[in-house]
Amino acid sequence: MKQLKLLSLLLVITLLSTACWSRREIENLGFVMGIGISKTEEGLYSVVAQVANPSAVVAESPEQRAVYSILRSEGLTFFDAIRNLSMVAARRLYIAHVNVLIVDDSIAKEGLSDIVGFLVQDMEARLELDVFISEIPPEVILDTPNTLGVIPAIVLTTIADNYGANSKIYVADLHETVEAVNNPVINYVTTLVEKIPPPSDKEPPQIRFNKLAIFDNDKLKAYLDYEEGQAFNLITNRFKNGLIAFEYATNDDEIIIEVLESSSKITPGFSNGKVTFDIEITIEGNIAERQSKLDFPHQLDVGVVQEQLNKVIEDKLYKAIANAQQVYVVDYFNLSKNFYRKFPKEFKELQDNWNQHFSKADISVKAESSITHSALNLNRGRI
Amino acid sequence: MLRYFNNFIKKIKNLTIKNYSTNEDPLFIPEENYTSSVLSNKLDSNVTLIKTYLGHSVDLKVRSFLIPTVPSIGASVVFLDTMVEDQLLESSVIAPLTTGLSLHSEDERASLSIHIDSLIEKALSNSLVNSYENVTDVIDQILLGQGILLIDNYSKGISIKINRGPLRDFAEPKTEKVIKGPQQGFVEDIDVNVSMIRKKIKSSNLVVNQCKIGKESRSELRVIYLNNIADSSIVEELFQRLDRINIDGLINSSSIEECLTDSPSNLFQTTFCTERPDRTASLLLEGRIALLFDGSPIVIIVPSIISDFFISTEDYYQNPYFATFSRFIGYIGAFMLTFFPSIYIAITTFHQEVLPTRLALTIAGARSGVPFPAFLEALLMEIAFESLRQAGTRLPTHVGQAVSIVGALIIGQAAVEAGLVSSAVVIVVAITAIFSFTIPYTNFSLSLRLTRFFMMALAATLGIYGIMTGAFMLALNLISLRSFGVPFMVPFAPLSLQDLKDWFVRFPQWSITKRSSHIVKGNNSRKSRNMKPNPPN
Repeated sequence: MKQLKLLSLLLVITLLSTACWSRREIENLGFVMGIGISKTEEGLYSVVAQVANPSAVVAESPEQRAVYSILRSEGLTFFDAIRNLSMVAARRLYIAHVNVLIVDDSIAKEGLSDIVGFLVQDMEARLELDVFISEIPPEVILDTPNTLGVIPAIVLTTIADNYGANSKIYVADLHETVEAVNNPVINYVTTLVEKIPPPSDKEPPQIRFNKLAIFDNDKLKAYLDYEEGQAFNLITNRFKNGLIAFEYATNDDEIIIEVLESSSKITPGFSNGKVTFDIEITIEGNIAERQSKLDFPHQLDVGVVQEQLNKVIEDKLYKAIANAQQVYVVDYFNLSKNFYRKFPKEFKELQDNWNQHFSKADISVKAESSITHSALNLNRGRI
Repeated sequence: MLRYFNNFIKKIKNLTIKNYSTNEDPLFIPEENYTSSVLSNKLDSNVTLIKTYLGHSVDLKVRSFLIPTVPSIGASVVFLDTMVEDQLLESSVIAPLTTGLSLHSEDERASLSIHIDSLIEKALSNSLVNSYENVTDVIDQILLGQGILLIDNYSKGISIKINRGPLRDFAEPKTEKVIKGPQQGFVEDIDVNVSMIRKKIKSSNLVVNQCKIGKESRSELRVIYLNNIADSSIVEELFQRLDRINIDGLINSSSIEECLTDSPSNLFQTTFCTERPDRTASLLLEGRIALLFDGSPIVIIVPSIISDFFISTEDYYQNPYFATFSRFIGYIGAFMLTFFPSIYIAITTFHQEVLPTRLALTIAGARSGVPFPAFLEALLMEIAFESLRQAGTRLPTHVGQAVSIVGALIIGQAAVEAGLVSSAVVIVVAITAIFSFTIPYTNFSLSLRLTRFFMMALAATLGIYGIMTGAFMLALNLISLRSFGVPFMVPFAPLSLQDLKDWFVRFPQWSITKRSSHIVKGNNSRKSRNMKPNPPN
């Protein structure tokens, strides 16, 4: 009996002190799927929220435009603008399921720190949401309906999840964004999202990821094409199953290598005040496609292909590193992490001017590739 | 924690030591003891000899009479009342030996008194007559249901086939159906029930005790156990508790159950009920005690543990892997029955963030337009389902079907279409209902069905936190339960690795060699330890 009293007392106490007293019915929530943020001419923050329409989502054949609605409001800060949405929204907005955050490049150029802070502090938002940069107003991206009837924010995350198939882009999540914003040394990288004209008359316009946006710490610096995107993924160990194309030297065949595995090893060095890096890339792949210029079957020397692949990769990386050092002067590969781990004391002196030191660094690249098999067609090995 | 761990290691050590020590005491000592003794010439001493082996059972009967030879000889028929057909005994043994013999001439009767073999040949009118000298054989015959005729100055027991023919009044077990296995259940007649158990266990150690309960009803009760296996202190305790019962009348076995439990006002029952003779026999072999009640086909088993309610008789008629799988479905069923509606409520009203985005949208879409909060909606549907179930069991079969069709149509379809309830909650209730049927024995699931409503209320006020609180309270309650001193949560708490082999999962028969030390004291070796089939050397 005494125990029972104690137990009920405990229950009552926890009942009063609990912080989870937030009962709300699921159907009254407005599920915000994507948030876009830009600045108006007056300097106010303009927030666009894409709110899912659940009853249209569960419908048997959802209409293109009925599955979501777009709300827009303005405010002095990001949070203020989001709160002002409540004056527009038909439901209580719920941001735990936000999948994408699209930042207008005008804000990105000023720095992401002003807007990320709120999302981290808010207990509802998830750190795994994808962050994109857009050159056109975010509402245009968010209001790109598709014939499948899928909410555009989900389309964005699907494309982002499939980055491994091309490895030409890289999409950062909010967690990485926060890390980059909080750490003055880490340079942030994410993807630019574009809207492209439809491939045919009856198809609506589509969304495309094509360029990598690189930042100097949290300020947008430049956009990279996908050659450099692949180099970025190779160096930072994020390369998954991309394709690498080149011409076979002996007879100008087009060779496409599908990379199965890749890993990079970065060895920093420091001597006489000069920073050096040795980057070793190990790649395993297969010959996925070969377009022959000759009419008759002829052999392909795998050894030569491997050597050529090494060369192609090294060229690719050298080009990207040279651009990073001379054109952008930004260490967007975040080689500083590797350097810091080996030379923590030296790094302390260099960190304020790290990008300058990086641009003067000696960086050597070595690629080691192995072709595990040629395409498994009828004439394998001898195509 | 450390202390617990040390104890645990000690326990394991003890287990292994016991393993070796039991090797020296094989299973069948009692039988070896009585193979030496043979029947004597004295009728009285023969009867007493048999009684020493079987006399503690109430259904052992001795019918003594005089064979009218010149001079007349004393004779007795020893038999088990529950196994023997009375008329057959009368017509083929007693009548021919008494009234039938008296018709013979006096000379003939005088010669028959000397040649007892010919007396048996001439007088007995039975299809199967054999004579035995060993007490073992005699007792085996009695346990098979034969009558044993003992005659003064004759050192053999004559077994006469007077047992009951195949019983036709077996009922099919209604609540414990199996697909593969005997389709035999207990009936309302207590003697038939005892004979069913006797047919499964033909041991002289099987004790059938008699009790009468109820001042007015004078209800017959049988307490059955194996006296070489069952813990004598539990047997004593049971008789003490039975003595305490002093009421006017007992109408059904379940009334005794409530008077026998260790925690009488608890939601969970700590006695186990079955209507299957095979299940009862296997539990008796585990060292349990069975209580049979005249007029009830339900047998009460004490002490009981939580695993009893999850073990189906069919587990032992099936492949061990599949039996284990179906047990796990039962465990999942118990969990889902208790927690699934409350988890649904908690997630849809408090923790929408734990759902994957698409699932959250689907549920929100299904619930849009529903006028009730999720808790009320789920509560209404659960109550609707429970009342449907009750209506279905109370009504005659064909009406019951009509009710379930109407109920399924109204609730499953019309209510969803009208937008009164969401399709999500219908699915939740349906899944809960299906899982509630996966637990083989209803006594336990009945309690869980009630617990479910408590959990739903907690979930509606406190979310997952409330469910966890409820789960802790449930666990505390179950762990504190005892059944005749045996912890109810054996083999989980206290953890008993040996018992998990049979009571949590189902290991192959050759590996389950021991009885639980929680139920049986001492005699815990069940099978020899080298039964695992091996290729020949």
